Amino acid sequence: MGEAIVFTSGKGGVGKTTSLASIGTGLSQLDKKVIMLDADMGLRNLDVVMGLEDRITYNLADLLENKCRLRQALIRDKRYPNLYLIPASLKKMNIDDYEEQLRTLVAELKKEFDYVLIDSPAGIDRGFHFAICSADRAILVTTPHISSVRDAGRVKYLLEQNHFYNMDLLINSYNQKMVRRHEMLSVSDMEEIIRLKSIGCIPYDTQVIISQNNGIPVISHRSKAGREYRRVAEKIPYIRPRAEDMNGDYTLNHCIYENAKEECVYDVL
Amino acid sequence: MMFCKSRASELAKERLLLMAESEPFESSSPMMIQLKKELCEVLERYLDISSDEYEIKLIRRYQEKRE
Repeated sequence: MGEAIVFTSGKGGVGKTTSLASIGTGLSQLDKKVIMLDADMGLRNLDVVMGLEDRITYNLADLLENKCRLRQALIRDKRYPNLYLIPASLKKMNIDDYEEQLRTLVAELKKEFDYVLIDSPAGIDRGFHFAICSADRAILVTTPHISSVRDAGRVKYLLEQNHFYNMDLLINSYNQKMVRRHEMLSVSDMEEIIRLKSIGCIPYDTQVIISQNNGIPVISHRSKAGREYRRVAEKIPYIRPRAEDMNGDYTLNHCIYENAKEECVYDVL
Repeated sequence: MMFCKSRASELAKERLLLMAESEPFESSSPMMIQLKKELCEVLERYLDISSDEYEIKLIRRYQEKRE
């Protein structure tokens, strides 16, 4: 039975789509069967980042409206055998009416795929609620900018209000030199403010833009960002929340990295 | 506030922690609105001050479980 993970943030442009593309690719290269779902209806981006924009026939809206079969909407990435994509629609639809259909679809996908990765739009309105409605866990993406961190904190609060507690923090666009000069928030600062442990810290890397322009996920290029995405992808199959974090009490959310026989608390980078 | 460049990250952290503590309780709940209204009435009874000259913020300390 697969797991549905939504990539969300609140703030736009922090790297949800970029991170989802690379982590999805990384997971598929670990022999996991991965489907990436672009739930950003009206402003699809996942196809462009993956370089699959010319392979689209049907999209998620067509699927939810029963205008096509699942096989027709699935795009298989020829470069990465275990990786599939369902693109978002370009038209804005009344997504409130389709939450139930999305839940059904994701439940079906979980029978066939190990991971269903869902790309959420920015903001906290209907699009956000639509994207999170069928997810088992969330990856909250933030950058060290004060506005992103604040928005991430708000999103965490909103998720908890909806009894959604399985989440991990992913930090993007990190600049170690600035942190050392006390010009930028550090990993531990952000973890303390948002009250979540991070599963990864992706350094700012110009290769991200170059890879996107080439329609290739940055994990496939030798780069600092690529290496860190690889590390995060390798961690994901081992991350589980502890039972204590599901009871609604306010505790620091720890992730346990299980290594076959041992259990150790995952350390801050 | 000190706008010293070498402490920009510390300033950001302070501001964010303050926002994190006070924001969940802004507006929305009718009880909060009533509470703020009554606090304003009390303040204006004792102080010669108008509503646009002050702001009421509620900050809640979390009970954290540390291991």
